[in-house]
Amino acid sequence: MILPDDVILRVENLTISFKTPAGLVRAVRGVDFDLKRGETLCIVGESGSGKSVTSRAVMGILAGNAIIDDGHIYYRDIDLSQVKEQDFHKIRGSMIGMIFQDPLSSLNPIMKIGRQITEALILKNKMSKKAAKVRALELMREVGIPEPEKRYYQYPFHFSGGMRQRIVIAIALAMNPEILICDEPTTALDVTIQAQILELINKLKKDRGLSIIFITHDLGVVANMADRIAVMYAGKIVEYGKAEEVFYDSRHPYTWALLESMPALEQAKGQLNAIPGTPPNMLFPPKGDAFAPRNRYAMKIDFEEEPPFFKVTDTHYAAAWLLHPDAPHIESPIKGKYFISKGAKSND
Amino acid sequence: MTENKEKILELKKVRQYFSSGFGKRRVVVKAVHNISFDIYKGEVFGLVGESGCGKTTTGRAIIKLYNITDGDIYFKGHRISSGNRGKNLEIRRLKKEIDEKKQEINNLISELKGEEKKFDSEWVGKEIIEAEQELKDFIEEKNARINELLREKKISKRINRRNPGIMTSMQMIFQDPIDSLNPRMTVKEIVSEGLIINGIRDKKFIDKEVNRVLELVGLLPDHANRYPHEFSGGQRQRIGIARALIVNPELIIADEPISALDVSIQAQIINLLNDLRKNFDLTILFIAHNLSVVKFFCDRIAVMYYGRIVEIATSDELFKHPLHPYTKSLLSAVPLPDPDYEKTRQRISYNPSLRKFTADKPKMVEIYPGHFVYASQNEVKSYRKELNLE
Repeated sequence: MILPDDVILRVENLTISFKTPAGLVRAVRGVDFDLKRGETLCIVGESGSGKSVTSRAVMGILAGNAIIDDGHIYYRDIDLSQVKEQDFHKIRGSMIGMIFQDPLSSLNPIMKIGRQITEALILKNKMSKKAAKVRALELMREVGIPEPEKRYYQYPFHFSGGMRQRIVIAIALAMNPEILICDEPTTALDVTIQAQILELINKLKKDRGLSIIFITHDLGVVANMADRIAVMYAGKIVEYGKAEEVFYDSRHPYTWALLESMPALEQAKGQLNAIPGTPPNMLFPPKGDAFAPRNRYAMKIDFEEEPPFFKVTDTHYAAAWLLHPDAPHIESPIKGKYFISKGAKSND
Repeated sequence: MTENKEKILELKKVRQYFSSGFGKRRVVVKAVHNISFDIYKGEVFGLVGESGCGKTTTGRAIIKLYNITDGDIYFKGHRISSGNRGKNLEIRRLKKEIDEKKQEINNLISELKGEEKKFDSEWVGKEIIEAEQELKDFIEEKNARINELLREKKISKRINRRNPGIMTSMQMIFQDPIDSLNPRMTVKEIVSEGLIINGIRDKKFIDKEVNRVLELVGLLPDHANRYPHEFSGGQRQRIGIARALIVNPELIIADEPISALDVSIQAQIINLLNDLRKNFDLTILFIAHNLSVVKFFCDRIAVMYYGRIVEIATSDELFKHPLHPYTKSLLSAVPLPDPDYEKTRQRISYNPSLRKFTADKPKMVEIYPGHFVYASQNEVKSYRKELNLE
């Protein structure tokens, strides 16, 4: 498998289950996507939709009870789903880096920051301690830590949440990876700190030409970061496309529901359009469209057969029966009243 | 509009300090630093700020999980908490004044005694008696004040005791629906605990009440015998709300009730709180850091920064005309689900060290009816210009 020049990572029909005492949990059920060079791909979805599992499969850090049933993850000329654990360390960190949600639990509390940053450099790059320190200080400056010489000898608890996340980013970047996977990196942070971290990630992306997979459930963050978006529900991608397409011209009822359940800035007080019910239990994956029981536009066929991807534009696809030529035409409920930049008020 | 309404909660110059260590190593953390605000009946009052600014501490101090350090909290006109720091400081000051006065008078007397030989002894004696009388009067006056303060301290000690009548009309919903429910108790035990603590033993009544509140929050009666781990995050938060509702409270303090939940579930919980508030005429103190939800849900908003409230206004007013630079920076940091808007959004950063108040001490100023801002005189002038009030 040779990937096209502009694609750095391709996931094909990825299917992952977890063995549990209660049975097989089908966490990811056939996910396809391409990560293009230098872009940010945002994966959006509720908890349990399989977005974290997908990214962990790319990184090769799935839990012990996970099974990759089917599918391939192509990176350069390698199929990551076939790489054995003892060989994976050559890829992990040096080609694909990852940032996790909670910066405190991803750092070692009893190890000085400097040692944690230089650890990979010394072990993998066989750098001397001195050279590694110089490199670590450079990295700390790059991610915006003031007084790196002093901070180098401090422990994680000396740092605030935002600073800790910067350290984690510095560690992830130490080996100059091409791909950075960010698994909800700002969920544990405040709005102001979140804005700073997002700015930092955007800056690093530009400076280093990183390709980023960004996982989150906050649509505001998605709008800020994404070049392309994949919306996941119950282990499947239900809609993907460019950021503008998915926000302004979304076609899947789940995407509508997600956008509607956030209060828009000009929204009058009253009820929010919450999504009724809860996500399906993936021990028993539902027949047909998994979102159908919570979907107010659901048709009979939604409960019987899984929708294929329908093409909206060359870059925008959605898996919803509503897009079938025979389906009734339903106007998107969010069109024209949701986005400030699209003149939300004037359309009312 | 709010002026005609009944005040349900009133905070007056509340301070909450935490200290650790003794002697030289004593560290005092000023978590809440002199805040005052009122909450009117039936409104949703939002408290926003970054983590560590004291918003949770404020909520916990109101419901008396902490004894406040200074100030007074009134609930429906009754004082429910009172802090003694101010009184203690005044007593200490008065005692010091008395000591100083004693020293002064004693010095004067000994001086006079030393000069007895030079002057008429009768005159000196008279002077001494006069000085002693002055001292006596002074001490009496100050002691009266000290006694008054001590009496007040006693009263506040009585006030600060547990008061079941108030405890039932104020309830709290916590942030983390996993940590705030005891995993070894069934839902029924969790929800009915409030009734049992209040001395209700009638099992039939308890069952009826539990079923009633479970239905109110959208759970089924047969959920009552399950354990918390069997529920999803949103359902757990509903259990937390049911537990708060069972004693028929008037004020609910919701401490970030939705920040641990998924987006789609967040909307469900907000809708639930909205319904409950309308149906039961509840007042809610809503502590949060998600500003778009706060704007949607709250009638008035207070912005906190480092233990102080820097701005209070109605939610529309606050978002339209934010005045305090911290509020501006907070609003500018909120990402909205709108890519084109996001591309042009400019973040304003707030640097408190740029604002120096050496001569011009800031205080809470009502700049516009209902819009308060913590600012110095000069800033007030510039804010007024910004709003075209002058």
